[in-house]
Amino acid sequence: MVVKVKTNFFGQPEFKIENPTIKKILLELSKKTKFSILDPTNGEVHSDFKIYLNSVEYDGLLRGIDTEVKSGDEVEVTLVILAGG
Amino acid sequence: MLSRKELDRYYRQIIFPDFDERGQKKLKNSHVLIAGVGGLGSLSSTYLTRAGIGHITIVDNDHVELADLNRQILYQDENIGERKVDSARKRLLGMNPHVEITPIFEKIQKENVLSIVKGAQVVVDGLDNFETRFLLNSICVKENIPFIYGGIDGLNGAITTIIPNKTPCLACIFRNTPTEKKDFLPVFGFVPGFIASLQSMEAIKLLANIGTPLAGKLLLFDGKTGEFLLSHLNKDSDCSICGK
Repeated sequence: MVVKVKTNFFGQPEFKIENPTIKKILLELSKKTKFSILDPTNGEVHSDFKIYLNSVEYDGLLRGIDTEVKSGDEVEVTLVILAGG
Repeated sequence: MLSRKELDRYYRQIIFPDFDERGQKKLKNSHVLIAGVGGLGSLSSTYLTRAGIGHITIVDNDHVELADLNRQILYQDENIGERKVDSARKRLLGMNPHVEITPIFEKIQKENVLSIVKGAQVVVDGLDNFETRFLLNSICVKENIPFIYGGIDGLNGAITTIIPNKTPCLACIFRNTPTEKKDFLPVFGFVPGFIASLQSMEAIKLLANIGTPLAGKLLLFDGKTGEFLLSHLNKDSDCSICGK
């Protein structure tokens, strides 16, 4: 299945993934951007990103980042502003 | 015109091929606003003062606290309780007496932001909250002043240079940014030090017209993994600040 991801830092890349989940998509996006959106040490989502599936944040979903993504779903990966100074 | 002392002081940057004496004169005739002299602003004001920016305005409405001293390198124990802008001005003039430093002890707000940015050729972000950043972003777009965003959180830092009407502005990039606030973010001094060094470089590149600024690109650094993300940004045509 081809999954299109909406981002505010890398355009709208498309990935061909079998039985896609949010986690699989984030791993593909990490590969493409050469930046670990999932922490390589504990698998958690990087604190500077927010992940949404059909406008619902991933941690509000029953299966979290293991949630399956279906055709027509909208996946959004947003880099948040770093506010400290 | 540069004096003999200035030529000596700036010798190591004047010999930079694309910069030379003409670049140094441009810096001398420049006015930079540094919004916030905390972790980021301590470093950027230091480098820009030492580099010979002719006029630097520093704005901050805070006083120096003990918990600032792990990262805000302009201040020492003896400055605790003092207004940051006053301590900073004294320290910066001690680094370079050829620079004019204007301190403004005010909180940047809708009512005063225009008068604060007026006359600046570049605004360097040293703020600690996103509301004021968005306010500055908005006025910089309106007044056509380049704005060098820098932000940190923990071991992470980010920077981009916003050129009004050419590059995406802060509101284009972070349109859906969550609005939750944290009172205190974790921070080691070297993270704002790193980002502020890049911001200083960006300011000097813009003012002396050398190299290519980090315009339309955002650099995100993760100190935990040592990874960099260089993202190419798109303007948002529906942006409430700079959209057509």
